[in-house]
Amino acid sequence: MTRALALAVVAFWLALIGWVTHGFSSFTTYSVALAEAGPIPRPAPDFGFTDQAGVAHRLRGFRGGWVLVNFLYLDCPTACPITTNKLSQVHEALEASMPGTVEFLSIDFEDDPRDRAREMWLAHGAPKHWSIGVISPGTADATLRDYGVYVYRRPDGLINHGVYLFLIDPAGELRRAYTPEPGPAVLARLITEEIQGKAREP
Amino acid sequence: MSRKIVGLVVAVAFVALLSPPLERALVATMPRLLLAEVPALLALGLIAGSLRRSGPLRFDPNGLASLAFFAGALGFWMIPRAVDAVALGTIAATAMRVSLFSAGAFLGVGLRVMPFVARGALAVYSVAMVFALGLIYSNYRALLCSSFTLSDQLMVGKTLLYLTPVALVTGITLTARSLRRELPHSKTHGRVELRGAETARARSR
Repeated sequence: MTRALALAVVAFWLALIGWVTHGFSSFTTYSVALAEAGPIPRPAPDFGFTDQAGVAHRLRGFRGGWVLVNFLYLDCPTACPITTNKLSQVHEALEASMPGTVEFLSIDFEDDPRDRAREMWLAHGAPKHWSIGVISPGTADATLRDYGVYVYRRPDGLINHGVYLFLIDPAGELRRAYTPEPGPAVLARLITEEIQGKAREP
Repeated sequence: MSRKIVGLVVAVAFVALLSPPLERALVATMPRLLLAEVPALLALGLIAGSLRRSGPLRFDPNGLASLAFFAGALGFWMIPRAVDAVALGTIAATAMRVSLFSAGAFLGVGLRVMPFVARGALAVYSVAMVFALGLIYSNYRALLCSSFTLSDQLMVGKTLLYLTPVALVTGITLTARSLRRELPHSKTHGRVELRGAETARARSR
């Protein structure tokens, strides 16, 4: 009796943890938002943005090439600069090994001034094949939700948000969502493998 | 201090933890939530459980279900998503408070009858939890709980790592004490058996 009760209690907690974490796969609010946005691969949600030069684009305009998208805001004091610095090294590595194959899009979702995006782009050495743009007004929330980027606006003004890097293939299919955690060298290798078709199926 | 007074203090402290001003203050930062509120709830529950006069719970005579409930509750509320839910929603916050207090209370009752091995497992689990969380929060360079800040996370991680040796020493001490308590008990049993055998022999004579 008592052993059965103990097992029932264990089963209860395991079921609850399994439910909350999408089958023991998503333990943070960020990863849950990503899982809830839909399975990967899936068609990449389209969005519009204005790049550092003031040119308006849509994501679908980049069809035919590989695109790496990430979302940030320009006043972000922690996660965004860390991610952008890693991204900068990934960009360097990929430009060295397969120049022009991947278009990098870093998209500001806070409607920050475009000049600031340009400053940031210049601060990273005005890299080719890397746009730092501002998302079209009024579309940020829906775009972030569609991509599965969780955003929490803290009372102190900080915005905590998912820092995933989304790899989109030439057909406009969202192929992978990477966390920047593994570091630039690993990310560059993973992206290269995906592009060369060596990666395991997502 | 009498049981009544201790019970009253526990009840007042628990109600205070549920009161909106304190509740808001405790969930405002990650260190307050994970290093103050969670241990406080468990400790209050433990004290409340240990105040029970009668023996073990009828449905849990050896404390294993209490141990399972405690381990599950602690594990569940350490998941970053669950921590976020507590910080952002009243229902989750109340569920956490009630479940952790209950987990402590059940454990307080169950500990008295729990076999030595289960107590040892509890000590290992608790120390491992403190160490693992410390390691994760102090080393992970991305934010795990979306409601807080990276510096909060780092502080919690470092504090938990500093607390690990304390938890280890406490765990070893309590386990050793529990083992010591178990050993004389079995000796007593031996004596009782011996006396019983002597009585039986005397009777047969």
